[in-house]
Amino acid sequence: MSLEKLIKKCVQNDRKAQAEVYQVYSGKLFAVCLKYSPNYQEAQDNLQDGFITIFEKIEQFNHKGSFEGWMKRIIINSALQKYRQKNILTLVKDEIPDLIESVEVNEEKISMDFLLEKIQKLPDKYRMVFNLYILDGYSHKEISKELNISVGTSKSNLSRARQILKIKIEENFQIQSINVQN
Amino acid sequence: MKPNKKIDRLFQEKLKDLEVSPPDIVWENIEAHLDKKRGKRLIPLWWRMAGAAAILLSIATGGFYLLNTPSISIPVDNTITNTPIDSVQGFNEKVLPIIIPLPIENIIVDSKKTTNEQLNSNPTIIKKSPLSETITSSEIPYDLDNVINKTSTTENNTIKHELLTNNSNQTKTNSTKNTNAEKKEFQFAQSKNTFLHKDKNEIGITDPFNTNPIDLIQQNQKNIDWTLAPTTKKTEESKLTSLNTTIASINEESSSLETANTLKDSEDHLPEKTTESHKKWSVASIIAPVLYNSFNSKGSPMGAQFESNPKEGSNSIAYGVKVGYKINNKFSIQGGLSLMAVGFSVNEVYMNPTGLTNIAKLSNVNYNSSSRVLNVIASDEFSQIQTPETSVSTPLKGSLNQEYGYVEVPLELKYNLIDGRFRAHLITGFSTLILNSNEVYVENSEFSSDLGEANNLNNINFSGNFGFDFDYSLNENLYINVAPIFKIYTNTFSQDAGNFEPYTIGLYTGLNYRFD
Repeated sequence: MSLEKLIKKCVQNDRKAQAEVYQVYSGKLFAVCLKYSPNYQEAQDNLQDGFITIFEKIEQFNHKGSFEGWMKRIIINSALQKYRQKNILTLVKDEIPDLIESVEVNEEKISMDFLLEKIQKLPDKYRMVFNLYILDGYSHKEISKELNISVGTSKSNLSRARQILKIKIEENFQIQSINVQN
Repeated sequence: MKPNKKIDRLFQEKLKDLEVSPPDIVWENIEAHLDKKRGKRLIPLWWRMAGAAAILLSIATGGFYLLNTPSISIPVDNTITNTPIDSVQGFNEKVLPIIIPLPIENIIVDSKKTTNEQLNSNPTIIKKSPLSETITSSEIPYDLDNVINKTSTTENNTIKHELLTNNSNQTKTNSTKNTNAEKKEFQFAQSKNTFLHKDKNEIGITDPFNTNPIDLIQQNQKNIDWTLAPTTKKTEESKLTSLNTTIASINEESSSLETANTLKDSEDHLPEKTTESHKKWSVASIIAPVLYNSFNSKGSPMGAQFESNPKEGSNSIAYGVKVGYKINNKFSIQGGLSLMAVGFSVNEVYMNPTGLTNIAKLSNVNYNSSSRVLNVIASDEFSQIQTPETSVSTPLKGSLNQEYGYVEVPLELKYNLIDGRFRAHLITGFSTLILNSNEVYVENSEFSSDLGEANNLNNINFSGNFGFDFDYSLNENLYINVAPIFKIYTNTFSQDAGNFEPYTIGLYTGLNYRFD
């Protein structure tokens, strides 16, 4: 079945077509959720809400851009919504260490899971900016709009996210090298 | 390469084509949610269809009634099927007197079935109809007179014809049995027919007794020279004796028939009465826009902390069926079954996920295990905790909504104020309501999220109903009915209702079908 037909059937609320769309795209979109969420459970919630929105608004898809891209934006929006929702009353402490020098690490030894975990452990607002800017190609202007922050804040959040990740990777590398030495 | 770029590239490369299968539960939840959505939309549709079905059913039943109005056929059928042919014997003994009320039935029977067998069996019908029963047969539709009037002439003809045919057969086989007695018997029967024929405007059942039957026999003697078929197997003697007994008992019973006459007279007035009151029942499909609200504008079933939040009741629609019974010209009762969903919103609440603040969950809500738990904060509480340091972005302001539904079983008494084509009634009564849905959710411009269900809603509650009811008749059977009804609810909440005193104002509109 062509994608267009499949989408048409989804518009008609055809359960089989919806299941097929889910089957094809849930893996990629769940990865997106994992990157944007602080943990597995929330990623799961995010995917669930995102797909519900996808099926509810699928008739609004205009067939011009990529369907996957359209779905990804919905998933990201769903993550952003959760982020906004969550952060109304949270007290945010800026406990970021000063700039540190980079340490060479062997990239091959770093696993995907490890990187994912590090992203998830970032404070929410850093994770958001890092994901949007680095992984999904949003501009600082777009980010400032999405997150209701200034462009400057977006930039500084990004650089702090980088620093934290760097530290985490280096820490891990050092532990690894110590382990190797022992 | 700059360290920044390096770390960016590391993540980009490693996480670019990442694919992770989500757990099955996610799809199950999505599917359940989609089903639920579809289900919600279907309920009103289902009710609309039920309403349409009720109307169609009413019309169908109405048609059935109209097609079956001359219900005289019912007693006739009964008597025929219950009649063994060989019971002709009894005809000659004590039963004959009772033949008198029966020409009507004979006529009717003959008009339907014209075989000899039926003719033969007529005497047994007579046997099976004691006097009282024959009189009660006058209770069958008051328009019996008309039916008789219309048919009597033709029926007389048919009966004569049949008897003649019968007679010719009989003469061949039983020519010797053409006795006087037989003649007389038939003459007697025949005289009644003639009589009936003469007095079309009278009720045939009792009128023959107003004149002396013996005179009639004598008068008609010359005209009749053929025999009555059913009696052909009888001996002359038995005929004679039976005729004597007949005449004797006629005299005896004429007195009791006088009483019957008076009874009949009183029944003659029935038609006038029944035109007004014979349609006692009515059935209707109803639909009602309902406004739900609280007497105490400060109260909220979600808790006393929401006192100063603005609130609003929801407008919803109730659907159902109604059955009415008219007790007399002034009073009628009505009952039914309807489905009503009501709701109430507390606006300007603030929400955030649990764990981030110390604010406790709503005590009146049983939270869903699957839903993300949000803290819902009343505007009062919010102003206390809201300080510049605690807020990162715009606070999420929304509404806390409660929706619940009931199956309502009303029982109401109606008192007629104005009668005629347009009628007005006062309605008072009560309803029993059974809780059938219960949902609490929060909503704002960006999302809506289920919290769970209220734990302080009682499964059964009651309402006192008061209102007016206006009917407008479209025709004899159909009328439109509009009833603004005010209902006050008690026992809605088990505890902590936050001084919430619900009421509804509904405009119950229906298409009613009246029947006997």
